[in-house]
Amino acid sequence: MSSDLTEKEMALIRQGIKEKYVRVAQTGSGGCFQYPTGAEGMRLQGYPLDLVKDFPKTILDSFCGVGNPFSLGPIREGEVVLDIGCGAGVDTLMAARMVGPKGRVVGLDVTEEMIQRAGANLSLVPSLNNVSFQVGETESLPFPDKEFDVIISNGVFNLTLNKAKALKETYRVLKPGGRLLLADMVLVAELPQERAGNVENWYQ
Amino acid sequence: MDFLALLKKAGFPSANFVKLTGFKSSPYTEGALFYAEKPGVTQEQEVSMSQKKALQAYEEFRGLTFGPGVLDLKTKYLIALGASLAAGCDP
Ligand SMILES: C[S@@+](CC[C@H](N)C(=O)[O-])C[C@H]1O[C@@H](n2cnc3c(N)ncnc32)[C@H](O)[C@@H]1O
Repeated sequence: MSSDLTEKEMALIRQGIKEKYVRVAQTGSGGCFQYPTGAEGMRLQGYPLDLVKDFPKTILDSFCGVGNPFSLGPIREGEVVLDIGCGAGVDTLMAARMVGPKGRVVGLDVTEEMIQRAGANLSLVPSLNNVSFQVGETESLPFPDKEFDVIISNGVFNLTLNKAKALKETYRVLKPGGRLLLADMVLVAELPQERAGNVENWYQ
Repeated sequence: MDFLALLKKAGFPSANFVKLTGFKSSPYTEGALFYAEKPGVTQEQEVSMSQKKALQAYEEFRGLTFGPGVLDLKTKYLIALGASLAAGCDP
């Protein structure tokens, strides 16, 4: 798909996505999306909220995922987890609860402002000391081969221009037998002609 | 190419589309859940495989020891009994 785009269009799309998420990072997820976000979104998707009862509301408020990756299978104590496109880190912190102190979770996002918010959210839960956040891009993951037991991602690959490359990277950093728990936006209806070529489709 | 096909091509042959989530970002796009595993041996499987190997090796050793040789079977069993009594366990 990406081969149909010119360099200029790709740069425009990347810029648009960044600008949108800088905005989301600054204002919070409320009002930026057409689906329910925050704690209400999590409740609707059946998140195990009991696990994070002690998290302040501001953390849950920054959720803007499109589904519940944790509904796809258990994450076990002691496992090493990567959250690709972690945003403000709500899923990351929840995974950290699941793996416990013997496990480890890394949150990665391309938007620096998002990583800052994730760091701020983490500092609100002092009991978690198995989490780190870093800036990075799906298409070239800054990790060695076979590093993770589980990779989660929520609403990110649809924003990735070279999905084939991003998925190969995902495969590379997973351990053999490792699991990918993925929630993402997909096209469920044909785009009308007049919208089909719009760059805004990428970051709505 | 659709996303599931891309997942399979990236090395996840058993990748699965699980369901739509009901969250729509536009009339044309909706959240979806996918599950995939990287093929290969997990650590658990590796451990149980190495256990299997050890058991196989032990059984081979036992078979050879009690198989036909210079001493007859009765003598070998009595030696084994003596050795295990001396070591504090039953054969
Ligand atoms: C819809 S938000 C989801 C955030 C978070 N996973 C959640 O559920 O709350 C999408 C996130 O993907 C990030 N993102 C977009 N393109 C990316 C890329 N190429 N590499 C890494 N992250 C990306 C954005 O910065 C944004 O934080």
